[in-house]
Amino acid sequence: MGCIYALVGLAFVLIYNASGGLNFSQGEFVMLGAFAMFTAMALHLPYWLAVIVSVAALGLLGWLFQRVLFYPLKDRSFLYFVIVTIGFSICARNLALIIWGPNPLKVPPLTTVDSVSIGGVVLSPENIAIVIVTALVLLAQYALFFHTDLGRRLRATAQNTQMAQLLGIYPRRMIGITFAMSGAIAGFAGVLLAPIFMIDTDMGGAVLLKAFIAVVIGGFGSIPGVVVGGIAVGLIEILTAVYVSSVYKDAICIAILILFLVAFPRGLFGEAVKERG
Amino acid sequence: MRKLALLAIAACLLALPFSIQNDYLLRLINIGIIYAILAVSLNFVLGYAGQISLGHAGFFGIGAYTAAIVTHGGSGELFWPVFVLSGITAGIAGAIIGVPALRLKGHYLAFGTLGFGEIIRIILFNWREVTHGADGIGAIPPPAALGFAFDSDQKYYFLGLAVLLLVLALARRTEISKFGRSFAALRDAELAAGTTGVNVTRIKILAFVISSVIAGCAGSLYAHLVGFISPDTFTFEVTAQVLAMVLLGGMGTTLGPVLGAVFITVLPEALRVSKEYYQVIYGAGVAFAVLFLPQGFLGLLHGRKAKTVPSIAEGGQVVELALDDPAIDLLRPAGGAPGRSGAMLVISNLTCRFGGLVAINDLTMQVEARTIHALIGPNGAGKSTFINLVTGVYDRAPGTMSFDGAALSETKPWRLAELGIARTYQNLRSFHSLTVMDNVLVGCRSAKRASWPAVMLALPSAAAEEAELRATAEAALRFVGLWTVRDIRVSALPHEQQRLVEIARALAMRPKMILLDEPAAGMNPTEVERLVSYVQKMKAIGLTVLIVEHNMPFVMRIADRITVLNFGKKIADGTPEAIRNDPDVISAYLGKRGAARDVQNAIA
Repeated sequence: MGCIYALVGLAFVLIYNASGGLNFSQGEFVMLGAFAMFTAMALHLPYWLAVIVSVAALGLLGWLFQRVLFYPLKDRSFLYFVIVTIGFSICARNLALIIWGPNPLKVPPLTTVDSVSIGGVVLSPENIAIVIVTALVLLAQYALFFHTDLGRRLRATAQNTQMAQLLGIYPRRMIGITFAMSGAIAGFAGVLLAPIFMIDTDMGGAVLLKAFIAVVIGGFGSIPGVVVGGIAVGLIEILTAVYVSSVYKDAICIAILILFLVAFPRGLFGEAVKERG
Repeated sequence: MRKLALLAIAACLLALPFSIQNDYLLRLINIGIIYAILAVSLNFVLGYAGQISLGHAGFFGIGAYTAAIVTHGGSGELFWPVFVLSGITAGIAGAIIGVPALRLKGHYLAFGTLGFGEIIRIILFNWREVTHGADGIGAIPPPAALGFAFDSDQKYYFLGLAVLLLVLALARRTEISKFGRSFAALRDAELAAGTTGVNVTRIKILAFVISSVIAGCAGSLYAHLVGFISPDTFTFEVTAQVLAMVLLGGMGTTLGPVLGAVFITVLPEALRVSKEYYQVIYGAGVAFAVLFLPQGFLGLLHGRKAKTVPSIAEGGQVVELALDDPAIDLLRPAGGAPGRSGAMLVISNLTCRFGGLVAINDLTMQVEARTIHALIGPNGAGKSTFINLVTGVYDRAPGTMSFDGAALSETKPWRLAELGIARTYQNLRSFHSLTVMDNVLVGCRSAKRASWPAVMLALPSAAAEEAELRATAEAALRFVGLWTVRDIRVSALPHEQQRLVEIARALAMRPKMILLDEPAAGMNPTEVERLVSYVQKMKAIGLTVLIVEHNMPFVMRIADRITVLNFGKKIADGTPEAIRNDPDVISAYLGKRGAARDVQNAIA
């Protein structure tokens, strides 16, 4: 579960780094990813193709999202973008309700194997897939950002849009690419969640809050931070559920959020606290 | 005409509940009124003070639950004391949130308050002994007084409307009072607000407390109206809705939040025709309203009016306050200028480091009272750092500074401002959304300060204070010749005049000492000429002036004494004549081999 939070948090941080925007509808991207997976499977596509189609669809949605909703607001207070994303999430959630109905749906499992035993620890193949895919996505991100020309341009745009523009980088395209990546990653999280949980239209909200906490623990804008934060949130949840009470697992997560905000606002790996211009 | 329109609106508001027979619609209107109160409360924090709160559902919930827990199953007469109690409990929560808000900014504050709202919701869910958990609390009586119960939506409407009008009156009074100006100063330029004497800590907490008290009262009204509450009512969606109301109506305006509340409440009803799709359209509608109405509804109405900027010259001549004008006394240092000549500011062994970089290295210097002292040095010499240390923007070690004969342990900018240290900024930091007059008024302080209740009730003491502040502000504006542009937004002025507004703002604080950080930067020779006369006038009325400047002819003309810094160390100190010929200064500016003659040319 921690890896899912890390993935959603990563999608969130990508947009934040590139544009300073907080996307409150990131959870709906996860939800739509899961539903896209369901639809693709219902159309009897092979598993690998269904995954690709779902992720690509969400990437496209991410791009459209920035084109229509983010771009007109890019010069205004981030609050406006927050409201727009909330509007979008209400819209998406209810649209999904109309299309797929209120009953939770189930996507067939990845393989017919029930569990795999590694060194005495029993794991389901889905969980292993989540860990592997998260690791792969992170590696791909790292390679893209630090070892390609596109990555360099993306980073330049994130740090100083105006200067990047003067150097001949087309920031609009860069921000578009970032949103598309962000959408695709959130979609991936949805695809991975689909086989292990029942999917319904409200699943986005819960995931989003945990992803926020992961982002704050890890430190705003830090990609390694968000991974550590996500895994930490997953562990805290499980440990609280086992040793205290599952009722309070959300409360404890949020208490940790507040503790971090007040005591260590930089998080574990974050940028210095400052107002973003 | 205006009065007539107001009467018509009042008549409509009074007739409204009688003309609607549909109970459902009346209930909706009442809920809308409560949301409007909540939106006004959020506007205090967000619109006026510029702080972000995504936890207003929490304050709303605390108020509602306070009311429900105390009164459920009881008498409606209890409503009145508990209404106040709801405000108080929510206000306490607001103060608690205000404290972390002192340290958090922007996105961090957004997350902190978001977390707060969620925690309140989780507590409401799980503290079953008190809140009954998910079952909620029912049997909340309608308010009653002297046997008259507000037991129908029609009657409740008047109660809600009365509270809304009261809250709007408070908002309006706050907006145009010194508190409103302090809020705006905090919103536009927090740093400059502090050095202009606004107690940033107190004003932030004040904003959160006022806002949460109102939100708590709205919660109480909600509980009594609906009669049953459960934690589901106080989710993040409420916060989002209220936020949308404020943004759509117009952030920072008095009536904007109310218009936003009307829109957001009515929109889903107008869309009910298409049952299943209305939530979809609602979400999209909110998003698109934000996209296409950047300033909100009120902005749409106001934005069209263009204003002409009056010339600063009256009858072709800039009128400035002459030294023999009696009004000039309003600008003399508060508590009288020190008659004696002696050290005004003494700095001893001051050091400041940024990581490994030593910006100020063991600096010792003093500034004589009633002199013009210049601080010069190459870029990166530590001049601006010095000003920031003196005015409390950066913390300094204790025992390194004494001011007007007393050791200074204070480091809070607003405390230092109160003691008589004023400053301007190298990069403009004016309160850009305010008029010139209001900018200067932020700096004005009265000896007899009116409290918040006095200002809200418009007591004579508050009016007297305001008149006194305005007189001081007028004198300060006349001093720099900006009186004719007093009603213009400061951001509409040209560069030189914006700089002068900062100087007027500093003068209006009636400081003993004023620190000018590169006042002549970006000015043309004529403008510099005017600046020279202002600085000399400041000295004449008893101020001590410290100038950081690169414009050497300007410095050489007006300075009584010059200190030269290089790499954080003092390399020379003396009269302009002595500095001009100092070999260390020459090598600092032109390098070791620089010919003395070139220096003469450069700074003569």
